[in-house]
Amino acid sequence: MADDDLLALIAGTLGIAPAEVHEDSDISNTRKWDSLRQIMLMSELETHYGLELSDQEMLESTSVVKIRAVLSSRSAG
Amino acid sequence: MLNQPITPAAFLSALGPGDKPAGLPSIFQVGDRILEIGADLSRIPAGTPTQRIAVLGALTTDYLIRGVACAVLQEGVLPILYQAPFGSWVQEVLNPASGLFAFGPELVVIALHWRDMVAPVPIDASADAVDAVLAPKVSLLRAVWGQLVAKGVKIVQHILVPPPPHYRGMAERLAPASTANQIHRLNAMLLDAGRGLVTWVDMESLANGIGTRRFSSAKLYYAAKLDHDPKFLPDYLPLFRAAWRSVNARAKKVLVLDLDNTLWGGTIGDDGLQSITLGFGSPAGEAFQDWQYYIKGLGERGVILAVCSKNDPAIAETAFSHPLSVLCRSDFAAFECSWNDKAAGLRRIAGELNVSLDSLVFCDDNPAECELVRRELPEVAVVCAGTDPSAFIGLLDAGHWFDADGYTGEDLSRTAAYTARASALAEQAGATDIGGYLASLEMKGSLVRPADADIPRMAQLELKTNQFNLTTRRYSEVQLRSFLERDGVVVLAFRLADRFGDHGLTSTLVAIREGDALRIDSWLMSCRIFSRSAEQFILRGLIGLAAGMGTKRLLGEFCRSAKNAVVADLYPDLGFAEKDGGMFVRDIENTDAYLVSYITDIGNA
Repeated sequence: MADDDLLALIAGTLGIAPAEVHEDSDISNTRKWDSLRQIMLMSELETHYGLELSDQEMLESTSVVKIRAVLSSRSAG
Repeated sequence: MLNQPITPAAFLSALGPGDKPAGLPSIFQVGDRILEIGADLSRIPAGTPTQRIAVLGALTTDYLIRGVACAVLQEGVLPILYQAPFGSWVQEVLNPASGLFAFGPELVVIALHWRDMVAPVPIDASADAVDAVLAPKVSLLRAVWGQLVAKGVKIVQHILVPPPPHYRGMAERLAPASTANQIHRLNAMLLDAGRGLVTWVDMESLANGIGTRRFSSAKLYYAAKLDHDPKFLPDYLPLFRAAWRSVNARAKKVLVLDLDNTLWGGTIGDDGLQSITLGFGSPAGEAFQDWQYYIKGLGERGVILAVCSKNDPAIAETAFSHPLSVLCRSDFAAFECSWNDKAAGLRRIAGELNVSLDSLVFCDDNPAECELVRRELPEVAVVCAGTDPSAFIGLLDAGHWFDADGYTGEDLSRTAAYTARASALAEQAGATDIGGYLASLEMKGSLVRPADADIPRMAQLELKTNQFNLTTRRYSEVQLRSFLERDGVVVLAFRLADRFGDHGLTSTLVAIREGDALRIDSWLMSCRIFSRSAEQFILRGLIGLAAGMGTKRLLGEFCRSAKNAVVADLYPDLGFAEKDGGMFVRDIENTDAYLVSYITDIGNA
């Protein structure tokens, strides 16, 4: 896997097995990923990658694909 | 496979993060597990200590409740939790048919938000006008507290955090009606109104330490109605635990310190007095000296200080004669220097000071010693100081081990009293005849109806006394005051001094008239003064009062708790005959050999 650092972070934050998280994972198809834990996940992303997310990004980055998009927009900037 | 019965301790430790600082995801996951267990109480092994805790908040409390869950578990108790529906905290308390009361909490945590508490007044309103608009908020809280206290529920509440915007700078600071000043004023009014009723969690100091703008994150308020960023939940845990210990009578009492590289740099036995690092001349030396000032300050604020070090005692003591040493040998109520392991040393210190092991906090620079104590004595709180003396104060402070609700006169003279006890014990070791020993202490006692100023100290004793506490009913200031107003109720405060020092108000007793008998409803005594014949002195005084009231018999009651075995035989030892169900009876005309005391009565002096 190209970047399983993110997948491991998501699994660890949600308290589920790493095998339960993959590129297509999102808030609707992943165990324990709900709107409450979304906030914690975003908070962990901020700490882990040293970035600041807007409230909009926090609420909308609800899939691995969307999170990767946010991360790459920051590293491109 | 057989289903192995699991012990409560193993059950709790399998759930928990242990005593290690926990990150947000781990706190959240532990909280989840505790909430799941709360939904199926049959999973809890028999004998597991539990407490029913409700969290009432103005905003989203999903993170907070998991933080509370994790914190209580770290204190060795399994919380069974109730989360009030969003935004309904007032209705939950004021409606007797609410989910809250169906749950039946033993403790509630109230977390309010500044947005609900500020009043819309013009910015040029006077201080009196601000007080007038804040008064209804205080009345509402009084009503809420009253409902809870009436049901015997303990209350822990968050201090309000003022919001970060400062508009026009200094002008805001000077305006009583500014949002920040309204919140400051309201905090002061609530602190005053809640005295003796509420134990506070100082969220404002937590926010200030972190930075209010980061702590009270605006985007998390907008995105999730969170009153603070859950990233800081790990910092909240020790703060909440301090309030929890305080309200549950589990305060830490003693700071036990290592010596070499903990109180000064270097090894006194190897380097000698001239070569240890302490005081000006090096950054580390200055840091060690400031740390010593801090420790001395804790001692002056009622924390008992002790030493547990691998050293030769005579050599170790010489370090306190260092010209720049702030601490002196007499600051320590127990001084355990030997080459034995530190777990044994800590046990001896607890024995010598007559406190339980769970009231000790142990601070050492050596990670191996810290690990040994954690393993051998899990009930002792361990602070591993590390190698950077400039960080020591912050490390100990961040644990909130010794947070107190307020200072009392006894706090401020406690180390002296314990040191006096240690000296008296040392004398006892030499004395062979207990009567001669007690007489040699030249004790002076007084047993009186308490004055109003005594009530806070009495309520503190009620809360903190675990060993000599016959019924552990733990009366609050409000309850004690109401006893004083009732006919047929005797409330007594006992003070003791001896030639080593003044022990202060160290025993309280509440007795209630029932027909021709006077029943001792609550009796407790500080562990500093057990077995000094104060028991006999107090009972003699009570018999005098009982005779004056025309009663014929005294009834004593003993309710066993986890920690009060020391008084299981108190009543038989004082000439009571056992009836059934933990009740004891004694004739009041019977002043006899059971009541010999070595304390001189100085009455109201």
